[in-house]
Amino acid sequence: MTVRITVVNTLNNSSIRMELEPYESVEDIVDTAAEYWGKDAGAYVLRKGSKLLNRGQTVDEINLSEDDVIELIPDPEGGF
Amino acid sequence: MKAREYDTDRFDRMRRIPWLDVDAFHRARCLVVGAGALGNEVVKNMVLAGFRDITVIDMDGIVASNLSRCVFFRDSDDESTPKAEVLASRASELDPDVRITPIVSKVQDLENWDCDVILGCLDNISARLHVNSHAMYHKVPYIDGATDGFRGKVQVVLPGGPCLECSMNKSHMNVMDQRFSCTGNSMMYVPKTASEITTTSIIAAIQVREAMKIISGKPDTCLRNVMYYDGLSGTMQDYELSVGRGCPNHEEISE
Repeated sequence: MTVRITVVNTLNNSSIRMELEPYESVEDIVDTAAEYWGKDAGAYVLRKGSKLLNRGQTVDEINLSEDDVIELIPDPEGGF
Repeated sequence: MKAREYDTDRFDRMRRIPWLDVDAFHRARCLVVGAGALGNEVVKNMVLAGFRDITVIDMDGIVASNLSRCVFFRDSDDESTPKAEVLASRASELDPDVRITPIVSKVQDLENWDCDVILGCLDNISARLHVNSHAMYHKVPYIDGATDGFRGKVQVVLPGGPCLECSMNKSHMNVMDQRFSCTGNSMMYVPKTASEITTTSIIAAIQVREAMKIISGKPDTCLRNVMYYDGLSGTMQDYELSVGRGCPNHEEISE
């Protein structure tokens, strides 16, 4: 069943609504959100509650339900 | 007993933390990958904490822009001075009993991964994945640190547990592709990331704290599994991670 969720960009607190099918993956969500916010320069991860989501997990597997909120977090890579 | 004998032991105050195994720190063989901002802070903390067998690998020389974050580098150092050698030499001054072995090389050329813990102080995903895969293969705990301005991250990878690659997705691969496509396949362009010392210090301190837990035989108390730090709001949050389906480092587990 199709679910509508909110994805929050933690860098600026803006959000988008996304309509997802049960078979769609975390990777699909990251791709769509990154495309929407024009994020081609960095790496990002998604979190739901206290869990980071794996790229291969599907909407069904992570139990996303209507009006759930997940967050897009920038993944730092510097250190020098 | 002599008066104030407790003040003659360098590690007396640490020994008052019952579970902290300072003698194990002395014996532990540690590999620090990267001798830049995080590498300087990590090695400083490790030497002060009593780690005495440290190998540092880095291929770069010192440039002026390192000086705002690297406690062991000086104005008199230049690009002909390898970071790993300077770091090893100056950090050794903190404790005459420490042995720091510098290796001036790319981590991709490192052959000896025989150690008890690896601390990642790198600046690119490609090198991180390389270290991650070797740590997983050799079953060595790997503590990776990363920063970007006032934000930072520490991930603890324990043998058999979720690894760096488990948390990555196509956005990480896109970043890697962009870096290689800029300069051809044999080279990699690493853009300069925003960085300042307070976030660097915090991330490095947490990395060493996690190493202290592991070497003291308390890996169960390590952060699970990824800690994100935001210096602007002053918050840090741990997030759980599961083993990624299809992660090449967990093929036996995934299948």
